[in-house]
Amino acid sequence: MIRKIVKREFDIQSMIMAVLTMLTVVTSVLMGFLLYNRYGNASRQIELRDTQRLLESTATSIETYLRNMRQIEDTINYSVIQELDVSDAQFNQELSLLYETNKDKIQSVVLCDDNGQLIAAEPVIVQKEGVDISEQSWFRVAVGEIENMHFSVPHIQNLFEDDSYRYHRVISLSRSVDIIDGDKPRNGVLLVDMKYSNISDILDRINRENKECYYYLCDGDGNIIYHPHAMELFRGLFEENNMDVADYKDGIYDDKINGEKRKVIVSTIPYTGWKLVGVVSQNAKTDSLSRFRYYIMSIITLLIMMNLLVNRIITKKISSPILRLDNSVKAYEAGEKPNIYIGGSSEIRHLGHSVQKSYEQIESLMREIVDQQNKRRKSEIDALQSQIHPHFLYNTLESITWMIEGNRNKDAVFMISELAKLFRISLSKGKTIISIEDELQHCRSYMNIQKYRYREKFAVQYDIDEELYSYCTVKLILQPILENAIYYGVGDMDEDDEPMITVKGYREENDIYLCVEDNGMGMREEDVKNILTDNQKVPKHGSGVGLINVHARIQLMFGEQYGLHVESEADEGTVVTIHLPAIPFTKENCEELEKTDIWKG
Amino acid sequence: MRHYNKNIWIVLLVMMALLSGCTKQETETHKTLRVGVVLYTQDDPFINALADCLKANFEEKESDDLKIIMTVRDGKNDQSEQNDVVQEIIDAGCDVLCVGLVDRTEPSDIIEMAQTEDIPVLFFNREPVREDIMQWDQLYYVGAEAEQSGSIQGELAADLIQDNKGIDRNRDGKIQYVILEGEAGHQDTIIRTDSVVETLMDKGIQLEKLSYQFADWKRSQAENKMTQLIDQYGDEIELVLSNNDEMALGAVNAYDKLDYTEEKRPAIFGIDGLEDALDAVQQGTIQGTVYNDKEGQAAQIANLALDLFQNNSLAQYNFQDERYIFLPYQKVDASNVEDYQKQ
Amino acid sequence: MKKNKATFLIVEICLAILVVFFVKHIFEDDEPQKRIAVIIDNSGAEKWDSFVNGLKQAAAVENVHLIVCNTDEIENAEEQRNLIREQLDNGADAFIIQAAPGADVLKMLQTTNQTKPVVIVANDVYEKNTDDNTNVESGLPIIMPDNYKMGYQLGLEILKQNNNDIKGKTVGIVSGLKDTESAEDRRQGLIDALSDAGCEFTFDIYTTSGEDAASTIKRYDTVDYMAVLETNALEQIGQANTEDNRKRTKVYGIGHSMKCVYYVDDGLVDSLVMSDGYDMGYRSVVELARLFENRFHSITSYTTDYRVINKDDIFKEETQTFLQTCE
Repeated sequence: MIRKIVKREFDIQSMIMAVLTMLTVVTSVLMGFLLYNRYGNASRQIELRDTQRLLESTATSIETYLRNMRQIEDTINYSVIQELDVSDAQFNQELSLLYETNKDKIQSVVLCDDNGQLIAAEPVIVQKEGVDISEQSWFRVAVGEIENMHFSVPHIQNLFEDDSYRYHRVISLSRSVDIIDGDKPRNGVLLVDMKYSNISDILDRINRENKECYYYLCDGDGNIIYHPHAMELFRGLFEENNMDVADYKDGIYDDKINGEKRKVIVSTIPYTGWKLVGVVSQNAKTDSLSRFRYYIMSIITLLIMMNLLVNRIITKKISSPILRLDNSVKAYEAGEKPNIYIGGSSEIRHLGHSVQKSYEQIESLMREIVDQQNKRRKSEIDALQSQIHPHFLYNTLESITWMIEGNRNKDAVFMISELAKLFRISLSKGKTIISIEDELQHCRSYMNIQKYRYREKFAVQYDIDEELYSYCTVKLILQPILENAIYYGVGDMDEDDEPMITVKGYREENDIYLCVEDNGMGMREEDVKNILTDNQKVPKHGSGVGLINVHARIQLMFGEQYGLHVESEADEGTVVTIHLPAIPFTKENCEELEKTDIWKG
Repeated sequence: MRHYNKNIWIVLLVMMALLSGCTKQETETHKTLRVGVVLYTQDDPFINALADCLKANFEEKESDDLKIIMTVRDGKNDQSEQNDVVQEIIDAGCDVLCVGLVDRTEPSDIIEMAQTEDIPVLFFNREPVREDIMQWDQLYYVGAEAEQSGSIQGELAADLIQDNKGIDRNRDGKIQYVILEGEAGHQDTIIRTDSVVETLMDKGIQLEKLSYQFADWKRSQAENKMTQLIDQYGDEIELVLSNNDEMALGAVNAYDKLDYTEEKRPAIFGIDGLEDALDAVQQGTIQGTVYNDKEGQAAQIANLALDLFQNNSLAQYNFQDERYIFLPYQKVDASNVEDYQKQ
Repeated sequence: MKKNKATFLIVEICLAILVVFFVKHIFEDDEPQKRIAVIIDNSGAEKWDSFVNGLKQAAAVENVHLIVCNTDEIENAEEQRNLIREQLDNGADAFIIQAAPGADVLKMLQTTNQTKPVVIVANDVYEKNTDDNTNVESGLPIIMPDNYKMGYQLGLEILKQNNNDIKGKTVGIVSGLKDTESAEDRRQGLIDALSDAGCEFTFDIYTTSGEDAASTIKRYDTVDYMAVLETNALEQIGQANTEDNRKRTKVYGIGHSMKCVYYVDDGLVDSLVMSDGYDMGYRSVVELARLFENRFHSITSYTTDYRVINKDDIFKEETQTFLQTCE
């Protein structure tokens, strides 16, 4: 199957189209691919950088917020707790004021002793029944490490009664403090519960902006503080690898979850050890490049489409003249008249012209051949016809009749056999080429008959080299000449003048000359000229179509350099020379000559 | 042939016109008024009571021809949250909005959204500034004048003090008082506090301010603060002025818990006219409150909403400044409290 | 010659189709979001907070436009149909519906489903099949908790918290709106759980959302245990559960608001069964989003979880995370 395709002949149009198309497609696709890659990389880099920047600025915001909280706690600690006795009325006043100023950030402020007993709180609300502060983790961690401030994970506050039956989600900031209570120095724990909404608002805002990436916050151990998909995480509808991320230092990492690639950017918030994590999806379908990808692909496809169209037009322009030329040649070969297409580029025009000319030449040459063939046939037929000229036949038959009636049977037999020979060679089985031997025999037969009819009025001499016998000649060329020689040469001469017709034949290298000489009346000069050209003067007597016919047939067969040559002098005699080429009478030569390749010679 | 075609077209067109006319008629005979009510919080009993009255009012107005759907949503005490809620309500389809703003200085987002969809807005309870209401002619406010609440409270207190010499326990000609305030910097807090004090002073009462405390409008906080104040001042407190009933009730609780006898207690006044406060007035634990006519306001809001929806004339409304409907606060003390208590 | 032309044209057409495909994808993001209309009873009520949060989160993730219809009580199929029609005019592409009470809701919802996809949440249609006393099912995809099991679980809690012995004790049942599947199933579940307990059902009432359940029950004798099977009623009854009353009546309930949880914390309610509204909302949107992407996606029904919340459960981390959705 493939071999078939490969072996198939390609026309010009397909070839050019194929090459151009391949070129176009390869170039376009390559270009598109390179562009996309470059842009894609650059775009991803930018996106990462932007995400990282946003991450860092958000981390800074969070850090600032947390620092604020620590400062508030410090203020409470140093300005109130360290300064004032807890039983002092001003203690509560100051505490209240600090709370009021920071109400939007703080849910509540609580001071309790190291047993978990509440000492003071703002805002002043009822403590919940059954709540053991000393069990709560913020308390324990503060008491456990007294030198530091401790941030908790977000949780629901479980300290106070709320009139409106609401829970508050807070992040606890707790530390161990020294309390002044009368003269007894005591230890206690200061708790500032920050409103979780402050952190979640910051993170909500940055998460809302972008679809391809999201941000979350976790503590140093990987516990989630804020995650935009926290609810889904809890229900197993979403996956996150926050526990792994806890070990990462700041920077950008490649990551994979569920087969989806993404980049993870980590920024640590100082003091707390919290990590702000940005996750950028690298998933081909959802990332920001998908639009660009389709854009590039559609551009490339459009380009290819356009190029194909242009290719086709160009191809057509180039190949169409060639095709038309080819088609017109095919038409000609199918037998129509040569009407070759001339058009297109100069080379094709030139080709067209040449082909047209060639064909026209062929046409004319062919016509010539046909003409010549016709002429030959016609001549032959004429010659044949002349041979079977009725008068000659009647006269001869009459003579024979007389002979038979006169009981001169031997003569009659002789005449009849000579006649038979004559006719046999005349016909020569329809051939045009016979041997010179046969032509001479024909001559002799004819002369013998004529001699009898002319009662031995004249003599005939034969002087032919025997070598000539086996050479070719056109049949029936001597007889008409002899006929002329008899009628116009010696026929009307006196016996006393010894009319003589001599037939000579000799070869000169590649030429053969056969002469018929008579010492008869001769011709005038003008007649000599006309005799080979003027067909009007068909002899009334005799049986030949004349010298013109012979001349034409010889030329038709052998070429224009051969034929007859007439010389004559009035009252002296006439010599007619037949010039033939010396072609041995072989089977091959005959066959070739019969075909008549008229270009030979 | 052509005639034939033309006839077919005419018949078809007429049929279509009739059909569309039919459906239109259908919707006209059975209209639905969709009211979106957005409260600033669902933790305020006064606001909740107002919303309940509003619902009752709308239910009364329903008929066979008119269906009223009233949706109540919570602003969660966050103006941007409230804006989102209003956006959702408008998105789902709404004819009239009734909004109790979280932040009275920030109505612009809501106004813009409503104006785009040509939805009239009735603000209530928290009054936006005049420039904002005047932005568009389909904005209204139904409420009470904040100043009035304070001045009526002042009148109540002044009347009582003038009638009852026992208030000034230490007989120094001055009334020692404490104020329980809502929130620092809050519009109502400032107005109420200022106007009550001013009214008292205008009425010739000599005042001595012992202290002021913020109790965030809440009963339990007020209770705790009051306890602290009692701790500090004891019997000295002769008058407790509270910016609202909840805090007044909290003060009562504080005295209850400390088992103060009636003689030792100060006069306590609140504002709002909540059911519990009315009961307290009846029982004598609170000396008076200022009734915020939520029934009246709800009725006005419902009427106005319906009239706006049906494009009726608004001639019968008593507008101030073309857009404001103020319902007066009413004095409530022991003498008339029963009128206000629901059976 | 002809073949050449034909090949060329075919190739060009194929490429043209490709271009259209790509261009369509470029503007895919600009395609208007699909709109999902949510029709639930009293959409502004706090009990839906968790559910709406789930809806919104899923809508953000799946890039669909969410419309929570403004509603108060939906009392019958007619009202619900009007709302549906209104939203169809508003361009809704799908519906998430809580089946309204009463007959012919089934047919109405099925008719709607033929126009636009419908997912049922919170409760299915309720039409008692008179022959064998079972519910008729709508045949539409449902995402909701198993109301019967919730009622049953509550019954078990009552037994568990009272040493499995409530023989001779009186029980009062307060349910939600009559003729809704949620009310009926929960009630049946409760009754089945307590069927062998030997207790006496003093009253068995239904409430509407406009009613004050607390004052309604005052008409009846005080009972030992009260099972309140609906959020609104539970909030009202819980609030009214005073100090004195608490010594006499223990309240157990099914509720979906933080207020209910607070009452448990405060001891006003002894045990609470709460279903996962967030999950319900999230899944229903996600399933519809899948349907929008792929026409042949069939939405499978899903039963969401519920959990029992007693006082000591509240501050467990797991419970806290669960309750976070109600904020």
